[in-house]
Amino acid sequence: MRINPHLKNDLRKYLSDKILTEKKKVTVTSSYVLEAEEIRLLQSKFPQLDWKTAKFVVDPSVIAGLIINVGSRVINLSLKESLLNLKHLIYESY
Amino acid sequence: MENLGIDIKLLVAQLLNFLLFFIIINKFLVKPFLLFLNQEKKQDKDKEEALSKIKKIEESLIDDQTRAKAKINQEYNKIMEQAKKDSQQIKDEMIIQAQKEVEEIRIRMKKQLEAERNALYKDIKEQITTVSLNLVSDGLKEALDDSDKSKITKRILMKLTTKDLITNYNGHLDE
Repeated sequence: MRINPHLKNDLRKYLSDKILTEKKKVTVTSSYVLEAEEIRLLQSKFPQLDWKTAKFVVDPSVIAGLIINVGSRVINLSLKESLLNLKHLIYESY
Repeated sequence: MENLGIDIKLLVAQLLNFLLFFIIINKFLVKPFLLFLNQEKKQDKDKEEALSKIKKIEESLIDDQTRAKAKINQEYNKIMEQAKKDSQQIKDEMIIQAQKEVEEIRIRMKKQLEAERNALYKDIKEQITTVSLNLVSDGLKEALDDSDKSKITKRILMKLTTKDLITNYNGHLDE
């Protein structure tokens, strides 16, 4: 089946834009609503990220700290992750 | 002679008669009887010899039998001794084999017990860790209010450096 070249180019452009947008998309998950000061501090620590379109999500299971999702990447700075790391550390020490 | 009352003719006739009688008796009675007696004697002698031979043979047979019995006894004793030795050897080997097997089983069981104990110990440790961390997690969730959480978050962010990001959090960056 042959696809119209224009349609193909448009589709390709749309998908690459979408991928680029998704790649830059920042989602910050915290256990409470972040204050402006904390958001500023966060932005200063990660100036390379696109904060204009950033989404802030509240999830109580995080306990404390933050989880930053950038596209498909995850920067986990939560207390939950620290506890999980501790758990793994204890398991590995057996 | 005639005056003495001896009749020569009668005397000669009597002598001839006696001679004839002697010859006849000797020929037909004494000789066969003597022959018979000699034969009987010879037969008796032969019988005695045969008896003696039989006795000798019997004695020889008894001796042979005794020797054979002694030999059989000797062989029996030898075989019994060999059998005893063999059975003792087999018994010793079986005991050694059994001891070896027991030792192997003991070692295997010990290893198995140790492995099971370690597994149990590990399992208990894992459970304790999981329960402890769940308790800590639940406790923190209940105990921390928003200001505490904010403090913790700020502290994490303040302490965060680029180096930390690379070394500590690079592993959690999932592509």
